[in-house]
Amino acid sequence: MRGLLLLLIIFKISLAEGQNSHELKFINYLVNKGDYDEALFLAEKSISYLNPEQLDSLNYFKGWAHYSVKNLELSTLSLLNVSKSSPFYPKSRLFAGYNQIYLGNYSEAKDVFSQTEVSGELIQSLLTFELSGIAMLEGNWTSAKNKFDSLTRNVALINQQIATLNKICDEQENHHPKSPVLAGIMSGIVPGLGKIYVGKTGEGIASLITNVGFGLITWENYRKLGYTDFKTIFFGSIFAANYISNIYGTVISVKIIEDEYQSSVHNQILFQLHIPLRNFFE
Amino acid sequence: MNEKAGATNADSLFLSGNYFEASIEYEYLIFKAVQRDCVNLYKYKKALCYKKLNNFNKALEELQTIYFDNPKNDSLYRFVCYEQSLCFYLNGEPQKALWKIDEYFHLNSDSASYVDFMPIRIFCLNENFQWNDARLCLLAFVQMQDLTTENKTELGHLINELYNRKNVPKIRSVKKAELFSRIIPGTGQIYVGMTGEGIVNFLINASIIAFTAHQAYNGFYITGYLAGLGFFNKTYHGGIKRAETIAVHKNKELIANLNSRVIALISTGSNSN
Repeated sequence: MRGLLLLLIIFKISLAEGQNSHELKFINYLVNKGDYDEALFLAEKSISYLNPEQLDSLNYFKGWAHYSVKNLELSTLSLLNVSKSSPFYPKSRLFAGYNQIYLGNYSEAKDVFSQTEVSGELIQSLLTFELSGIAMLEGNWTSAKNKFDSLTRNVALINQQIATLNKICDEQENHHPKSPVLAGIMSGIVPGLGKIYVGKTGEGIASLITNVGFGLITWENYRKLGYTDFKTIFFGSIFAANYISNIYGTVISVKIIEDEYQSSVHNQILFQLHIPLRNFFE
Repeated sequence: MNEKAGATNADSLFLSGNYFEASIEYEYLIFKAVQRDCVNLYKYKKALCYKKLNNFNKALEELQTIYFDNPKNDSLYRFVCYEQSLCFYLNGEPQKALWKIDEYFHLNSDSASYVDFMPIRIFCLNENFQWNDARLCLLAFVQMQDLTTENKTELGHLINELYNRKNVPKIRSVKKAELFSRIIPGTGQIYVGMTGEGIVNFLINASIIAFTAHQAYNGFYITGYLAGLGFFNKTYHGGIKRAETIAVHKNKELIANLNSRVIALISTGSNSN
């Protein structure tokens, strides 16, 4: 009786495994087709009696679908659950690490990459390349350059990206942010000049025209009606408000422009770190 | 799960309103199906799920992948064409819907099957301001209905009345509205039926021009030019843009109103039978 029960359980498990295999193939098909929401809906449904290999596949599909719909936290969680024995392990680890980089969790990303146990020169180069990228994002330009130098130069997969990132490192080392005080003073002397100094030429010219316009109106009314007349006070107030706000705007814009520049560099680094991963695994 | 059970499960999900889950089940059936007929049927049903989810683009994507070896002899072809034309219409593409309906009419000689397409065709023709074609289509639609001769005659009169020159929507030309506002600010708005807004717009522009002229007359040339004309430039061009927007919006409203009247007319005909 006990033997029969055991046989029944084994039969049920093997039947479920067969069914799961179909489900996993279908989830894989949905992921490849780009139906990520549908794939996730199925993957989130409780699938029972998964063997370790099937569980790895499920975690990988979930992670990849989440990654594709930009749910990077959930993607990382699923990808990190893929075990070493799975053929999806290297891809899962590298993309989990990249997700952490994208989310700004640099120390977690470093942990993911340093704890990844993979063999092969190419994958090792990729890991070092990603770690160098993190150093760049943390502002350690020299350390990043040293890491790039340690990479073998004959890896075609990352050569172009290394060159681009090295160039960014050099630019960053020589980059001096504009001074907000100087920009403000320049705008005080000639309205709009501060904005031209920080690189916003169009905005600077527009500010100059507006200030000159209100200045001329105020001057005309002052000349003909005197400073006590309502019109002079009215247009004079507009001119003063415009003049002061232009100086204030210039000072603020220095920080905004610097943030924009740093953000564009940040995005460029992320982009360069992403290209070899996609090229290698797809 | 065999294919028949899977189809039943998908159909029951669809009927219970779980369209997303149903679409996945249909995709699973497509994934497993071998025969093209089955694939086509499941794709059609999957498209219905997307239509119910108001995702007309995805519904159209699904329908467009359905391939027929011999459309004339395939009963599904009619339903696929119908759903394609309906989704095109609902997606705001009446021209494509008309093209699809014409394609079906061209390939299918059985005029009895045209009746299902007629309402969509009428709405699409209305959207394109093709009043006479819409009227003829609606008359043909009434003739195809199972109604008494008196009812058909009465509905015919009502349709002719609805599409009478006096009753058809007065579609406002966007270009004319723009041109009127360019010549005299505010008149574009009055042309499209927003008289109050047009008058206000005219008064604002006239006040600014009067201010400019007053300043120039008193020798305040810089104030007149920069403060007056600078401000006028904004209100004048803003008014032109506003007239265009109102014209487009008003035309949409008029068409929606006409389509509601067509629906009411068809419903009256069905009820009177």
